[in-house]
Formats: sequence, C-alpha cells, structure tokens
Amino acid sequence: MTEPLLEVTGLTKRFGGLTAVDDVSLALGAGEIVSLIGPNGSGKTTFFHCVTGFYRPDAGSVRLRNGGEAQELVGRPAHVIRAMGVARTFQTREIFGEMSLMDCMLLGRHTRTSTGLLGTVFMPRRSRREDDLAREHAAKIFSIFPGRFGPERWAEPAESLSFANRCRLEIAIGLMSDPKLLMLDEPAAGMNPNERAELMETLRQIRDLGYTLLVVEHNMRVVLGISDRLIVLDRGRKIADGDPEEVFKDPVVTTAYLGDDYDVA
Amino acid sequence: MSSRTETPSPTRPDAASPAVWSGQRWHAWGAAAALVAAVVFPGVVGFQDYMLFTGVTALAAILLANGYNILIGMSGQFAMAHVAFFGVGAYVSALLVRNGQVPYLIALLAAIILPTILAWFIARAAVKFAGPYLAMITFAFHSIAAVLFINWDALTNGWRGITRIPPITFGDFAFNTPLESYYLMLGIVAVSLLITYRIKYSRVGRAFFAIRHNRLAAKAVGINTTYYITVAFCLSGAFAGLAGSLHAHFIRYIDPSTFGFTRLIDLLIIVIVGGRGNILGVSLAAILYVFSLEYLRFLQDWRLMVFGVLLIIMISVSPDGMGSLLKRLAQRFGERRS
Repeated sequence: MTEPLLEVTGLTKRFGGLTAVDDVSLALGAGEIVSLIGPNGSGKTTFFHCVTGFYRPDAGSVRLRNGGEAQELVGRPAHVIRAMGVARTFQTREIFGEMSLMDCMLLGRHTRTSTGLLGTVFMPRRSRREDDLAREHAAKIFSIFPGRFGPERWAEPAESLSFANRCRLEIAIGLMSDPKLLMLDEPAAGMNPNERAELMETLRQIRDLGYTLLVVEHNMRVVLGISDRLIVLDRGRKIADGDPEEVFKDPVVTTAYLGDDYDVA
Repeated sequence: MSSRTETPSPTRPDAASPAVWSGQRWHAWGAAAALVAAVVFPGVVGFQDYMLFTGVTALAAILLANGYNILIGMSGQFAMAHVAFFGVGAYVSALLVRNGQVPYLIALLAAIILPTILAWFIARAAVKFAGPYLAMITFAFHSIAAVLFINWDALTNGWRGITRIPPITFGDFAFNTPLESYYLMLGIVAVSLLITYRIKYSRVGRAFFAIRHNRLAAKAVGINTTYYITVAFCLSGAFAGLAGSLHAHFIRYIDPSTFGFTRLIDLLIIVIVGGRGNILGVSLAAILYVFSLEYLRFLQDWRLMVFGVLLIIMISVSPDGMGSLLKRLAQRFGERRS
C-alpha cells in the first residue's frame, strides 16, 4: 500500500480518566474492506466519532487523500468531513423518522448539491432540476439493493422500515454523497443469517464499485466473509492489524476476547 | 470516480410514476382553489366591514403563524420568541412612520430587517440548546421584549400604546378601507406562502426537516445544522416583522397587550392544530382560529370553554394536525375514484 486513502496517526480520545482511544494509528488503502473489531468498550465507536468529526480527539491526526493531496480531518466539523468524502452510519440506525425514503436519499445528496435559500425562492426550476438529477442518482443507488427499495416504496416514511432495511437505507444514504470512504457501525446488527449473507454480498459489490469501507462488526462470520484486512482494538489500543485468518490466530487477539487462560488449540 | 455510479444497472427514473414520491400534484389545485375562495370572500360576505376586518385579521394570523411554522414546525426548534419579533416589527414600523415621517415602504423594510437581525443573534445563542432549554432561552427574550414594550415609555408610550398610526401607504396610495387592506394582505400572504412552499420542497426545506427529525443524522449527512437553524430563525423573524408592520398600520393602534404571552400561546395552538410543518394546515388553522373565536362570541362566558373542548376534539381526531387529516381525506377520496 503506497498511498493510503486514509491515514490515522496517534489518535487519542480521553473521557476524564478513561482513554477510550489510545494512540491508534492505521492506514486504509483505496478499494479495500477493512473491519475494525474488538470487545465491547474497546473504543471502536469512539474511533468512528473521532474520524468523522463528532468527537474532537485529544491528540493525533486523520488525513484523507483527496486527489493527490492529503487533507487533515481533525478539527473540522462533521458536515465538512462528510462533504470531504467520509460517510458513516450509526450503530443506533439514525434515520429521518417520518421523512420518505426518497427524501432521505436526497438528504444524502446534500453535500453534492448547492441550491440555497435564494436559489430555491427565485430559481425554482433550477432547484427542481437539481432534485430530479438527485432522484435519478438515488434510483441507481437503490438498485444496489435489489427488491428492497422498489419505486413503490419511495414515498413511504423511513420509520416504517424494518431494522435491517434501515441499515440498508443508511448505507444507501451514505453512498448518495459519492464518498471516498464509507464507515459502517455494526451494519449486520439485528439481521438474520439470510439477511447477513445478502449484506455481505452488497458490501462486496459496493467495494467492487470502487468505494473503500471501514466496518465495525461483531458478527465474526460477516467479518471473515467480507474483510480484506482486520484491525483489532482492545481497551482503546490497536493490538492487531493484518490478514483476517492470521489475526484470528494471534494469541494477543484471543486473549483480548476470551481471557488469557483460554486454550486456542 | 465517475464510472462507479454507472456500473449498477440504473433503474429508469420514469419507471416510477412521478406522483409516487412527489405527491404534489394536488397542491397546485388546492392553492388555486384557496386563492379563488379568498378573492371572492369579500363579495360573499357582502363587503361588510366587520367581516372584512376579521378577514384581514385572519390573513395576518396566517402570515405570523407561517413564520412560526418554519421554525417550530419544519426545523423543530421550539423557540418562544416569535411574538417578540412580531412586536418589534410593529413598533419599529409604527414609530418610523408616525414619529419619523419615514415613507411606509422604508419602514416596512426596517420592520422586516430588524427582527431578522435580532433573530440571527438569538439563533447564535440558542443553537447550542434544544427542547425545554431552547424554549426557556427564547422565552427570556420574549419577556425582555414584553417588558421593554411596557416600560420604555419614552419610545413606546407604555400601556397607553401608540395611537393614530398612519395607514399603509405606497407612494400616493393609502390603504384606508378594510377592502383595500384585505386585498393587499391577500397578495402578501399569497406571495409569502409561495415562498414558504418553495423553501419547504427544496434542499433547504429538507435540511430543516432533517434537523427536526434527527439532528445527529442531519450532521452526518453533511448538513451544517448551525447554519440552517440560524436561517430558520431569521426567516421566522422576517415573517413576524412583516406581519407586525402590516398589523400596526392596519389596526392603526398598538399597545403591549397585543404582544403578550397569550399571543404566543395562540400561535402555538395554530401551528400544532394545523400540523407542524404543514403550510396548508397551519393556514387553515389560523383562519379557523380567528373566525371561530369571533363566531363563538354568542356563547359569552362559555366561549373559551367551548373553544377548549373543540381543541381537545381536534387534537384527538388528528394528533398530527389538520394538514395530515386533509391529506388522509384526499387520499381516501382519490382511492374511491380510482
């Protein structure tokens, strides 16, 4: 990996006496799926919040390569980081309640559209044209999820979706902003085995379209099924980084998950 | 980069009926019907001054409630400073024209711009807060304004109020009669509602609704929530100031009682009963509110009690407001026809 897409160095976040993310450095190459795993409370979600601007880290840097140049993300607000090319989902499936699926998708396109207050009042035609283009784009993104978001559902409120479909919608909304990096927080939570298999297929498809994915996931079948690389956090520190099969055999990792008196063999 | 979105087989957008996601075709018809009804209203009531007067009051209520609806309805910011903006607009305009001999148009602009600037400052302070805290901070501003209207005697004349405010005048034309004022007000309300409608169904309106439904997710999709909340405050301030100026020069008398706490409650009721974020519903609620309070006068002391019962029934029948009730009725009607 010569030029990483995202390069995190020495990222640290403290809450009082607790160091939730402790000097984490990692790099993501363009076009790979990397899973971030670790026991509960190991700092995965905090790491997500730090990278995407929801928390301000106490130390460290996060650099995203944009074209040829790497740009610092730390210190920028969340909405700017989204516009710069990092989209994310939430563990808690944050969607826009009563808004229709299509409106949610258009919101995903917010950073790639430009109509402002004066534009919408004085140039309604231009505003509508921009929305129509965004709707066409949404239709393309929806087609990545066959059978889930057919046109007959576009007017339905997002809150009518099942938990699994909310997750799919969050991913679809993320893709609407043409992100360089898509960060998913527990996408398979609440899914049955069939849905998980479908999700894995979808994530691989998204990677093949050229996106880079960083996934926090607890389900090890999903992790092994999709990951090109695996990074393990424990108590805020990075303890392993590499090929999934090898990482799983690493005694440091099994100790973190299962305790040190567990016999791997 | 550009090739990645081409790869999945695109669903042709025209494969779906456009009405599926816009559902807006009946909006134009509804608006046209409402406009026609409003235009013929003076003739229907036989040009009685009293009815026209009530009509103008209702239109002013629409204007005021519409601004409030943008802030608490669309963007979900439960701010309580709206009547203060209304009052500032009314006093600024009345004093500029009456004491400052300023042409009405200039006073009107000042009555829009000053509350907008105030709203900007309040938004700066309020944007960090939500829910009851936001309500308290903005209500503090309302209280300060209310006290100033009463006690800044040199300027506002205190409880005696400002009398003999000149009528709305553009150039040489003065809007003296209720009929003239009615049509002027109707034009302004129609343009205001059109502007609000365009905002609602646009990128800006979606950002407002996104903030209302989920501020965290709104940030995550790249919405500058601080900016859009500030914009919502400023828009509501501008509409309130506009309504204040028109009110002052139509009634031609203002005193602090017009800008009290009850006014704020009236507005809250109109927006909630109309349906938060629903332009048509809130407009209808404003009209019904003004007219029902007038027409329940025969009940004398029972008036407010009956009104309260009607309110409870209304909210029980349709908690999302009259707007969604109308939508459901329209859908049922549409299904029966097809």
